[in-house]
Amino acid sequence: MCSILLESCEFMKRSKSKRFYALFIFFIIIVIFLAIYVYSIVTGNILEDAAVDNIREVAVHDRNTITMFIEYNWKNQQRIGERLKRNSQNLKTVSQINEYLGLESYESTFDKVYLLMEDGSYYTDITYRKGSEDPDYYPYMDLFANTDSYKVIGYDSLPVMGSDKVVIYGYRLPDNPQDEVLSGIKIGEDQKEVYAVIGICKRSSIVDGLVIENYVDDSGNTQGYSSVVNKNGEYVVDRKDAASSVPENLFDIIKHCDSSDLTSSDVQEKMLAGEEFWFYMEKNGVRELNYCTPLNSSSVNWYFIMSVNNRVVKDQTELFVLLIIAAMSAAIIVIIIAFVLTLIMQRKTQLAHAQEKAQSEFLSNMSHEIRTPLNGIVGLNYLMMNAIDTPEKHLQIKEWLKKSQNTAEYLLALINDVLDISKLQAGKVEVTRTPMLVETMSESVCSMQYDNITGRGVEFIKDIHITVPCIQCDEVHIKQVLMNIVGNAAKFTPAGGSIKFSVNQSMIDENHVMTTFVCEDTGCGMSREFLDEIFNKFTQDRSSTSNSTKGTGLGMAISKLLVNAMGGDIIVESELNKGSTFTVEIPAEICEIPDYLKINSDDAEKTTDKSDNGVKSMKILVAEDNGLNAEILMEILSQFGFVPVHAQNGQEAVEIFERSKINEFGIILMDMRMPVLDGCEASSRIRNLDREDAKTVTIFACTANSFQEDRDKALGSGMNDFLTKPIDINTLLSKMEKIDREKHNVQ
Amino acid sequence: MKKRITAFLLQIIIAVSFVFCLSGCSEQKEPEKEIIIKVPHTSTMNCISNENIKNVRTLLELASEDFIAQYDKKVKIKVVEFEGGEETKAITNSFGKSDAADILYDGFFNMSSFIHTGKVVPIDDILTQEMKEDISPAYLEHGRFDNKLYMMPYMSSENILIYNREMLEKYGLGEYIDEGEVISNWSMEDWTKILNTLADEFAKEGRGKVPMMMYAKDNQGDTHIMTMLRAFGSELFDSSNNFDLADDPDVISALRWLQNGVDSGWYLPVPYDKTMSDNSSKFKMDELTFYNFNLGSSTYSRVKEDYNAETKTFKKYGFVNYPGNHCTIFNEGFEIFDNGDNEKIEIAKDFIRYFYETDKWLECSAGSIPVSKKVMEKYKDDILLLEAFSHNTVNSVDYTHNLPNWQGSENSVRSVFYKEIALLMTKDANGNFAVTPEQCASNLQEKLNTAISEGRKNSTLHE
Repeated sequence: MCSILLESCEFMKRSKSKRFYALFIFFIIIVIFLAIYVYSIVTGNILEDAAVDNIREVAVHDRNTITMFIEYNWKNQQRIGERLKRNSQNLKTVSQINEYLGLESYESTFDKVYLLMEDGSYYTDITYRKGSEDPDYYPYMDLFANTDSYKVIGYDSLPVMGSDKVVIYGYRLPDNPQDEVLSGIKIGEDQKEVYAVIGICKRSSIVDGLVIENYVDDSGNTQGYSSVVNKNGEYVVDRKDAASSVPENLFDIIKHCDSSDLTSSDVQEKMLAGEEFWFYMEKNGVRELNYCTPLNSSSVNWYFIMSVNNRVVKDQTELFVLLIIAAMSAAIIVIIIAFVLTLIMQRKTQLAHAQEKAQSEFLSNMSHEIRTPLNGIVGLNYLMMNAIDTPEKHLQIKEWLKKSQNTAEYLLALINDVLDISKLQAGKVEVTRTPMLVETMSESVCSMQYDNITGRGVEFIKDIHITVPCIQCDEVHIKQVLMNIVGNAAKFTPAGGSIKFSVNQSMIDENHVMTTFVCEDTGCGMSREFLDEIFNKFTQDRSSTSNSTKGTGLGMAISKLLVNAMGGDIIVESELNKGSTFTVEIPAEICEIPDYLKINSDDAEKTTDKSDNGVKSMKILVAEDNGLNAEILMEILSQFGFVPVHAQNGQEAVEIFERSKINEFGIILMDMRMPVLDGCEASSRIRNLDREDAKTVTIFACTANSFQEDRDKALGSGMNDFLTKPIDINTLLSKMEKIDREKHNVQ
Repeated sequence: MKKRITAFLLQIIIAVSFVFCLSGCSEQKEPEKEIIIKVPHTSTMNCISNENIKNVRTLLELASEDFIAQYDKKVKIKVVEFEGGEETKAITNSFGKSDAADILYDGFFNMSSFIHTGKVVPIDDILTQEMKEDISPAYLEHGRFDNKLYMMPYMSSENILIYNREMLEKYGLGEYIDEGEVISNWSMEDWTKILNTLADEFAKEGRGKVPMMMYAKDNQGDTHIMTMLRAFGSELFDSSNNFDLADDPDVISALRWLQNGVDSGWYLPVPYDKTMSDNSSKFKMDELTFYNFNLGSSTYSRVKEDYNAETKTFKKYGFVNYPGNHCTIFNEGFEIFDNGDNEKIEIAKDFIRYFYETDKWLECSAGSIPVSKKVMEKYKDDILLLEAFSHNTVNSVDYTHNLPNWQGSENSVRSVFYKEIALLMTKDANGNFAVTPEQCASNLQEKLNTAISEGRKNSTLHE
């Protein structure tokens, strides 16, 4: 079965129908458990039959016991009759007969022994009753209405027995086929003939024998009991309802029960036919199996009924069936778990292989992609070193320097992208959600790409329709994605072509909007094969006419991961040599425009005008442990007119700042990772210094890392903003202006 | 991947649950609590405020229905009647079983033995200030042991003897009859004369009539027959609450007096094999002169019919204390058992509290002697003989002293006592009594004190 499952799974795996695979497994499980269920039902029925057989054996045994008990009592009555015949001459007065019967009662198995006379009167051990007009007279003669020789009846209230329920045994003396010599016994002053010996027992004497010991549970409660009924359905002895004052009729009970396998007529018919039979009956929520068997005495037309709570039958069968189900279920569950574990292991192995392969390919690509520009830089440096002393080569050297600069920038972009994608794949990139002006962001992308596009002789069309001005999203990452897409369009669209950038919005619900950015170009387009791989790493369409373009091949992979992380998606449509359309959909929550965004938009024009207002003579403290980076940075700053001061680590930076005059330094550029004291700790200490400019001096974090947690850490330590190495002086000036503007706004 | 595995395992669990449900595993619900109240079949009552209530079982069933209807928890109450005198079978043998009694309504002398099993819960917390003021302290004291209330009294019966005055009048004994609602007191000489006269006359009639009740077939004799051992002045107990019989001449005189009754024809033939029921039947058939009586007995309705309200006299019946001029107080009430379920104990207490705080149920005690003063006050003029019984309490004796092992085992006081009395009444083949009164007194003292001693040794009280 396991192999079939495995083969089936292989088939399903090949068909890549995962849903079908799950449904098939579910179906198999259902079929297996249904098979167990059917098996348990069949087994249960067989066991139930066995349990009924067991009950039948107990019933027959108890029936024989009861029959023997009754016949034993008749024997006793016969002996009483024999003794009476011997003593009848001495029994003249009522007192004598009372005393005689008192002694018989004491000696016999009966609680009371009476003598029924031929005229229906009777002697007891305490009195003599004559006729029906006497309120204490009981018509014992009715016992023999059918001229039976023996009689047993159950009775619930007999005055002489107080509140006790009784069983009355009657033994007719004259013409009794058992013993004809007992005819003609005469007693009393009027010498009437004794018609019968009446023996009375408390019903408890027989009832106790009707408790079925086999069906007494652990708590001592009996789950089964016996009854004796006559063929009219009247209870002669009912063990269960011994406490009830009114005896019920079996046929009435069947008529009024909740449910019964047999009708009262069926039961009556079977009893009259003397059949042995059984049926289930439910009454007051209790289901009982009633096993009915006739008493095997020719003189008694009674039925012995053993009633056993269905729980007994169920207990006997359910345990076995449950064990079967449990064992089979356990076996199947173990097989299934083993199967699942095998699949998981197999899957893990495949995954590990795939990851290993991907890693290997990635390293191979990385090696190739990094070596290529590095070789270029090394080669150019070599050429420049050889030509530096040759004046006629200076123009050539300038060209080489420009190429070296471009190659280095490409290498930096490549490394940044690789780091970004690693972070994204590791799930370490956190998408921030802050208010963003959609139009401002879109315009910013357009303006940044405008020169790049139009400079290539490509027409740039923008079509922005904003209905919700401000949304909660990650502006930096959206901008990164759009810049990548529009930048790619620019790269791959030849002169004379056009690029259309459009923005639209549609409401998702009253609080959310879907913003759709579409970049449509008339560029070289992409092949079908490339389209399938466009979001994979290191993918560039070499078949296109874009051989001159340079890219890391990671941009679209990063964009896809970023957009997915924001809950959106990127859709690409493209036709080779006709153009491509990139659609970016970003769902976002709608928000009010915060005040600081309103101010920025208002003041944008004003602040750009005073960009270099006095800043170029500013003294800048540069905390950088790497000597080369420090030298380059200080040189660049010097070239732009700043006055840089170098600190070799965070501790030195703190000390220099402490020694400086108030407001001597306009900016502190703080490397994040430094020996002795790192940048964050140094910034924190500077902010905590007890001097006027400690809180106001601008501190920029400088690091090669551009991850969110680095930014958070830098800002948390009191730094104003973040600069990514290598420092771009224009970005520095821009951020200085922004901070200066914010300070003014606050004031 | 994890999600897929989880979903897969979930499918398995659903499938297994499905199959198990198909195979009959049904939801298990917390069953509602069922309180079992047990009451002996012999607990008849004459509730004058509700004529439909003829016995305690009916009373408790009706009260249960009302209690359940107003109770804030969902409970069931089952009232189970057991054969009178079968307390051991109905109560002790059911301990730990599903049919164990949570509440027992019975006579105190039956219930007192159960206190020493450690199963009976002290119920002082049921008593409100109002109840304490309403129920006479003497009744509550009967329910206490070791300063804790274990039995809550409901009504009280005072046992005396009723007699067929027509028989006395017929044979010239009318001088001993007091008219009206009076409970007579006769000297032992008077008693001897009355019983002998009647026995002789009945013998002449030859119709099987006898004058005095006597029974020793079962354990029902402790209340009445034991009281007659005091006829010549004995207290029966010493200061340590042990039986002091063997050397007490008054006890031996009483035993001899009772034994002489056998030869004198006072009792039913074969008295050692007779029960209270035999005597009751005989009395009802007007073939026995003296029989037990209290306001709760089934004869009371006949007594009421016999009373002539105009002349304030009885035609057929008269009333007299036991020989020696004693009567016995016979309290009935409730006991709560601890069957290991504290919630059921609390429900049982709530039921009894409700029962006593609801006038219509408390007033059903009027018919016998109610323990509630307010019920007594309300119905005192409506209950025939109530005042006579009330005045007669000065003649009452405490016959059990709340002693342990009074009943419930083969060697309990009740079980030992009737067998010794049976022996006292038994003659051998030569016509001689099996034991003398002295031997009987000695045997009784030894066996009864052994029973008490064992009871004390095995006594465990519920905390």
